[in-house]
Amino acid sequence: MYEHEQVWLDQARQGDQAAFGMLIEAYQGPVYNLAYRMLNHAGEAEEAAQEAFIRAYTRLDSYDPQHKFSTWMLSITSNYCIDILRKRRAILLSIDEPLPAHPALMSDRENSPEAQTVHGELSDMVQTLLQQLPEDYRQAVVLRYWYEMSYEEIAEVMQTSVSAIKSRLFRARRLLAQAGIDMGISTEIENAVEA
Amino acid sequence: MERERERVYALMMSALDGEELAETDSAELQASLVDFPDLAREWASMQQIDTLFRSTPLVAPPPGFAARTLERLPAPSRQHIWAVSLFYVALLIGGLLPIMAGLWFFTAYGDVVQQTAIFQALNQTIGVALQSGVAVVGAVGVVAADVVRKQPIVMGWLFLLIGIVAMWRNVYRYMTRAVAQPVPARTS
Repeated sequence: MYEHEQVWLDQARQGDQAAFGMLIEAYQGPVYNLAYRMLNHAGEAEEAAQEAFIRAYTRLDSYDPQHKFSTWMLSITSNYCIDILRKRRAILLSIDEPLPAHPALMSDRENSPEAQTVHGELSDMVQTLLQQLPEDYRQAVVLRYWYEMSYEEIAEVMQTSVSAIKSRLFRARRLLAQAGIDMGISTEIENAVEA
Repeated sequence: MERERERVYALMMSALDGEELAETDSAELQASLVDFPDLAREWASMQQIDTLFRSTPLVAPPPGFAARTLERLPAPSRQHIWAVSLFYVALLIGGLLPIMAGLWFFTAYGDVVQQTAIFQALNQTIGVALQSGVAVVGAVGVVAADVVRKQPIVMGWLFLLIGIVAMWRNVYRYMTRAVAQPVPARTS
């Protein structure tokens, strides 16, 4: 939680957009990352992350300060992403097409062509693996690995029980392991992570 | 056999969740992986994917994301602005009017008010008015208690009316809240 978060929230509730801008600055990374991991498309991820912030802004009155703002924000984002994925499925768009690695994945310290290639391969691998999972499993995996949330926190974001989350993560890990074996990427992961 | 495999999976999940396995549990897991080669392959794959995910950083948003999002935030609706403006105007007038009235009164009738006879008459009048007020409030209280006791239907209607007023108040608040207006998305 940020030092001035409560002040920003109070001011944003009064309609102060600049204060809400500070919250956007603070949480844009986690919100965008969640949208990107869920949707596997940079453009859609930006649209989804923006929409999540707009929804949060217009529903600030319903935010309960007893919960963490980050948890509430991620909950809005993941629910919106699930809606998009369901709409995608409904219009029979394929989500299996490999998409190019996001340029933001390339950090300053990894500018060499070799490092970029390895990083790009890793990014593709991560996204390919995540796309093997059903939406709700993917949601649980992303929250667990990229946000280091406990089972309780994931259950709060996904509005379900802790036992349901345990079960989803168990199945998700087995599906991922099987996908890794089927795709023969175990050795590639080992080499890439070591590199 | 099935129970044994379930036990192995439980140990795997504990290990992946960062729990430190007891020596006996760890030995049991290693022994089971020798007995079940398919589980050993699965376990190796799980560990590699776990390491991969943990070593993959957050994807940063494209430059200018926050500014673009801020531009898309809905402006407070005109109705809301009018309601807030009227509220502040009412507060301003409510504070200024009594002060102005007091100043005017003392300017116009300052000499008259300072006479002792007028003060006494004023005190008596206020005293009588207060006594009358107390008597009226007492009588209303007695009648109200009687109505509550004898007329439950009237009370029911009263509560219903209060409920309707509260409901419309919330409807008004909902209608005057900041409403999202559709703004086309802009991506980098």
